[in-house]
Amino acid sequence: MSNKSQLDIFLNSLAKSLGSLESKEFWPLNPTQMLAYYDADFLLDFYLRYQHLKKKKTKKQIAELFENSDFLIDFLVNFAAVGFKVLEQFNIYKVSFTDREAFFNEMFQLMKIKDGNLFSLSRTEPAAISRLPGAKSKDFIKPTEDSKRVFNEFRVSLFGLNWSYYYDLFAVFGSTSHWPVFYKYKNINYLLIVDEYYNQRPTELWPKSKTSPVQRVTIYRLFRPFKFKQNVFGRLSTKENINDKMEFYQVVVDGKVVKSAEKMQLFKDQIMKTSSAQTKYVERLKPLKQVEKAIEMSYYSHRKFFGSNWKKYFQTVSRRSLKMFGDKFIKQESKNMAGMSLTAKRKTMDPRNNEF
Amino acid sequence: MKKILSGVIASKGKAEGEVFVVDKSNKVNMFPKGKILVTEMTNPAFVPAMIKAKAILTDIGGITCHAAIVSRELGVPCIVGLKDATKKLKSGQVVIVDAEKGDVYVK
Repeated sequence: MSNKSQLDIFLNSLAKSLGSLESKEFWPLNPTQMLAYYDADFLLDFYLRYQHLKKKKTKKQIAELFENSDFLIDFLVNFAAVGFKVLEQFNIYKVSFTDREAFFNEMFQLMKIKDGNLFSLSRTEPAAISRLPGAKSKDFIKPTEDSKRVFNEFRVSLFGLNWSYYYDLFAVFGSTSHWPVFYKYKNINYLLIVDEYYNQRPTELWPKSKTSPVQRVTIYRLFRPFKFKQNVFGRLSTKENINDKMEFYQVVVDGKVVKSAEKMQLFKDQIMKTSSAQTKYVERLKPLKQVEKAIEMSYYSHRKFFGSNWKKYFQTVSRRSLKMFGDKFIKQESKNMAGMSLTAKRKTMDPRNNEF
Repeated sequence: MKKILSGVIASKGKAEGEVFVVDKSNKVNMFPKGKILVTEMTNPAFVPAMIKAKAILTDIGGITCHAAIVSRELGVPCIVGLKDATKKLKSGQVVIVDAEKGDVYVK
C-alpha cells in the first residue's frame, strides 16, 4: 500500500465516521465552538516542533512521545485536516499541498511504528495486546450476575471520569480501546476488547482529580462474537446488547489485578464522586474558560512532545486567542457534517486543497 | 396504546414505568431508582442516575453518544434522538419504551 493511498483511505474512513456524529452530542461544547479558537495555532506549534524534532530524533523516538496512535489520529482530525487551510487563508503560515501530504504520511508512519494501529477495522495488532499490563496472566474472571453488574458500573464510572477530564472531544487523552482481537480462550473463539485508561489523575490540569483512586486501568473483556461497526475515532457502534455477550473479564488497576467485586465497588463509588464533582466544576465554568481549558489540555496531553515548555506554548496561544476573539464567547453554529455528502466531507477534511 | 415518540435505538430492550425528567445535571442526584430517565442529553454527571434507570430516553444524540455507550454497557434499554421527549413527557407519567423498534408509547 502506497503512502499516498493511505491518505485517501484515511479521508474515506473519516468521512464515513463524521456522518454518524451530531455536533450537539459533544460535551461540554461542540467541536466548532471549541476548536475554532486555537486549531490553527496548535497545528502550527505542532508542525514546527515536529520539523525541529525530526532533525534530532529518529521516527521511532518521536513515536515514543505519544501515548498511542489514537493521539495522532485525534491530532490529524481535529487540528491538521483543516488547520493548514486556516493558516494559509489568514496569511499566518503557508505549507504547500505537497508538504501537507508528506506531513500526513509521516504521521501515518509514526502511527504504524507506535502500535501498527491504522484506521482500519483491525485497530491493534494482537502482538500489541501482549504488551499490556496483566495480559500475560490470562487470569480471566467468569462473572456472576452480581459481579457483572458491579463490573459494568465500574466501567461506565471510568468512562464518565475520563470525559469529565478530557471532554467528549478529547477522550483519547485519557483512554483508548484495542479491538477487535479474535482470541482463543479455553479452546473457544472470543472477541477480545481491551480498554485502556491512563492519565486518570491529572492534578496539574484539574486539581479536583486528586481524589481519583486510579491513575491507570486496563480492562479486558471476552465476548461471544457480535456484529459491530467502528468509526475512525474507535467508537463502537452496535445495536446489539453486548452486555449479555460478555463471558469473561479482567481488571488491572495501577498494575494490580483486581479480583474481588467488593474492591471494584469501592473504586467505582470513589470514581463517581470524583467525576460528578469534576463534571459540575466544568459545567460551572463559563464557555470561554471551557475553551481555555481545552487549549491547556491539548498542550498538557502532548507535553512529552512539546517538552518542558508546554505551558509556555499553552499560555501564548491562550492569550493570543482570547485577545483576537475578544472577551465575549463567540457561539458559532456547527457545520452540519451529517447532512453533507461523503465527497463533500472528504473535500472539507482533505489537506490537499484550501476549502473548508 | 398510543405511539408518541420515535427515535434512534441505542440499546435494545423493553421497559414500562414512570418517567422522571431531568432537565439539568444538578438535579440528577434526585433521580429515583427504577424510573425512566428522560433528559435532553447525558454527560458524565448522569452516570449515577443511568445506573438506577429502567430505561433512558434523550432528545438528542446518535448511536455513538454518551447515553448510547453507557446504556449498552449497562444493558439498559435506550432510545436517543427523540427530539422533544423532555417537552412531551412529564415526570410521573407512565410510558412503555420499546427500544426494539425505537418507539415510546402511552397507554
